[in-house]
Amino acid sequence: MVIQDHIGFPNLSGRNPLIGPQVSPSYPRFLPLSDAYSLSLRRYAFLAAHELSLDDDALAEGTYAWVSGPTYETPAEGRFLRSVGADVVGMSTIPEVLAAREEGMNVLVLSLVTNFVVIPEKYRSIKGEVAAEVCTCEDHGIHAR
Amino acid sequence: MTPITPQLAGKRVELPALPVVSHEEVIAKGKEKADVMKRLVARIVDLTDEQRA
Repeated sequence: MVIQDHIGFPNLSGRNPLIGPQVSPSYPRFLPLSDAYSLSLRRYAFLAAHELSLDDDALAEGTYAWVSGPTYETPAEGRFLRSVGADVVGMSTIPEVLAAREEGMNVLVLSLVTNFVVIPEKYRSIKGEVAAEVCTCEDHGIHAR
Repeated sequence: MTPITPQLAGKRVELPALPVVSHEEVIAKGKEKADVMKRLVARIVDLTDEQRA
């Protein structure tokens, strides 16, 4: 996936890697990230994919959600990330992007996606399941303990 | 639906099997993706070099 934008959850919760003394006074104290990912390099990525005759679905474009880990996402967290616009999620990459942008570098991120976040389509209602069974047992004169 | 009463009685409950692939299949897919990534990055570098020339 070609990353076109990111959501940095640690950045939004006081764990931004750039917090602290500035490495150089020439660096911006408040680094803009509206253009974090080079447009021209992203164009090259898709041009290269075309020239290599890659399948259209081999290279996607999307938003990377950076989370701290080390736990993987719960289904509820997966649904949340999807609902706020994340296409992929990972525990890396964005600190390097911030450092590179602070240095004034043009950035291209190619993220190799390995697996789906586990977000079940349906949820078993244990409450309803137990209630249905208790009801059935009582209908037959059986009392569950 | 998993009956709760046998579970409470300590009896084994059969759950549906999850699809599983072998370690070799995972490694093969990883190598395939890595090769695509390598070719892609090499071509992007070539394109940027051509642009500079």
